[in-house]
Amino acid sequence: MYILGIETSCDETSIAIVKDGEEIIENLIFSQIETHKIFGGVVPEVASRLHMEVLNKIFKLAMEKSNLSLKDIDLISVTQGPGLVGALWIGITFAKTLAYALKKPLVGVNHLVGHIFANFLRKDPPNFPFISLVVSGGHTEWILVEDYDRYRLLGKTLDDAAGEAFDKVARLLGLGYPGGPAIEKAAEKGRLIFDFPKIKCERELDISFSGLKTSMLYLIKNLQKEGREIPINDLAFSFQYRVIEELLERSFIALNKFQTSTLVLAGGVVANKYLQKRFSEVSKRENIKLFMPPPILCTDNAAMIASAGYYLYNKGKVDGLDLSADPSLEIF
Amino acid sequence: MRILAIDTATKQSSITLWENDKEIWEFLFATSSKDYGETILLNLDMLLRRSNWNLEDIDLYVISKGPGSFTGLRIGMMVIKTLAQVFNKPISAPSYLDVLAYQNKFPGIIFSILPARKNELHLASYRNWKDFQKIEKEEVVSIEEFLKRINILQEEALLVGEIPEEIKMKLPNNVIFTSKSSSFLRGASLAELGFLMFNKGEYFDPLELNPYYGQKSSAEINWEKLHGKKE
Ligand SMILES: Nc1ncnc2c1ncn2[C@@H]1O[C@H](COP(=O)(O)OP(=O)(O)OP(=O)(O)O)[C@@H](O)[C@H]1O
Ligand SMILES: [Mg+2]
Repeated sequence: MYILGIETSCDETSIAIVKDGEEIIENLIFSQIETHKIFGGVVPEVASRLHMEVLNKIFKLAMEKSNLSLKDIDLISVTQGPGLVGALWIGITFAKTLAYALKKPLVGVNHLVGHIFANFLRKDPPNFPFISLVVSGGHTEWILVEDYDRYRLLGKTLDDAAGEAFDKVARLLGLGYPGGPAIEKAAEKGRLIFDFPKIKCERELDISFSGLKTSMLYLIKNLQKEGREIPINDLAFSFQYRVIEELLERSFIALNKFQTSTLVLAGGVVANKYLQKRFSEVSKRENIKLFMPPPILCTDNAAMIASAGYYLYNKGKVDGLDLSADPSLEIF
Repeated sequence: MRILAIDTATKQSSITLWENDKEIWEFLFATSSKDYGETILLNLDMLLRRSNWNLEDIDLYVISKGPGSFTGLRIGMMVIKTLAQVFNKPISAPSYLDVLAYQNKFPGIIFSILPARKNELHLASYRNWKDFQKIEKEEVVSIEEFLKRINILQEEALLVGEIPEEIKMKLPNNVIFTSKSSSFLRGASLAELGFLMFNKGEYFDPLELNPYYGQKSSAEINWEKLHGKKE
């Protein structure tokens, strides 16, 4: 079965062709980051216009590269939300029109579920149940996944998402956008010089980054007041260290609490090499089976949407021509 | 020749199936920025069922390319682009203002108007007495500037479109405006004008067509205010 995946929820336009939910035939990603950079963040109207310009072209390219013809497509899977509403509508309208013209079934997929399914694009996907940590630009959540379509929220960020915190702290340090990769790069040359306080929330599986961000802000201000040089690389490392240790700690609390031995990481922040190193070390020590997608599948892409669509379709999910964008779609 | 024409530029949307000298099926419906995307394919499906037409029989796709609601323009055009891509057919894309002028016969000059941002108008001018002729292409002007222009006109003029009250109140004697029902785009006119354009060789490859917005996004405008124009 060939699944066409479509992703336009934020600033990446992506089309993928995936076979049987696990094998990537094509996964074309057109990033708009260079355009949004000058504004210092994603501008929704600009994002919609760019998706509109390139989506049909990327589709054509994917079909040509795959050597498949339109009638080979068996299922169309598209991101329904969460995301930017105008951007989501581009992908959804394209998907609905295509499904209608080709007379093929259509499935709307939750973008976060998609991120989790980036781990299913392989021969030996995770077994249920597992704990998933989704850490992206918009989300930081611990989820107990009991089946393809059964999700339980265990804890989440009370304010910024981890990726967002990376982006904001990068701005404080003058490191540019997107902040995640910029901080990772600076941190490679840095040391742990500042022990940011541990993050405490009322519920043990919730997290909050606002305190950490404020500490960073005051630290920088004080250094500036004293006329001292800002040790950018060291601050980047210290921040990254704190964030990742906190993510790690909560993930293992969740694994223990629910007696599960599989941990599945998802979302853009998982592209961080230091995060991968720390999670691998601790998982090995604790005998936990750890899944992390390759970096290209951590950030937004359509292959993960195609994979999720395949498994959900097999569970009986199909959508009609009334499928609508839902900018704040929940999975629970 | 069989045509499918879609217009989602304003709150009054339409889908039309049009065959020259034969039959016309037109569905005119009200939309909002929230439900352009939700209703369009359901309505298209309904119209195709009622008419017994098949997508496979469509020879030409027509879309009003703008100006209008940014979201609306994208939804309608995405449907048209994708159908034309799948069935490998051309698209002709008159502007919304073109169609407004085309559907009104008048011996003088015609101004097609659609509100843009605050105190601004999308404007284009035409003649449509013997032949249909475009005089000045789409631009955005302030209401003040537009009033200046029509006050020095030496001939009869017709205004068509969504005309702000402020303008209606200040019109000189040689300028009139159309009735309400002629002042929004009608699907059959869109299809017919698309057909004429196609016959003159004015059509697009589906992959090269994009909406005519006539305006930058507010973020770009603010950016330019702060940093000057991008190249
Ligand atoms: N190497 C990295 N280290 C840390 N963070 C990173 C790295 N690479 C990317 N990120 C962060 O990941 C985020 C982008 O991830 P992703 O594309 O999954 O998020 P999104 O799609 O914007 O949000 P969501 O999926 O929640 O809607 C950005 O905030 C970026 O800074
Ligand atoms: Mg994402």
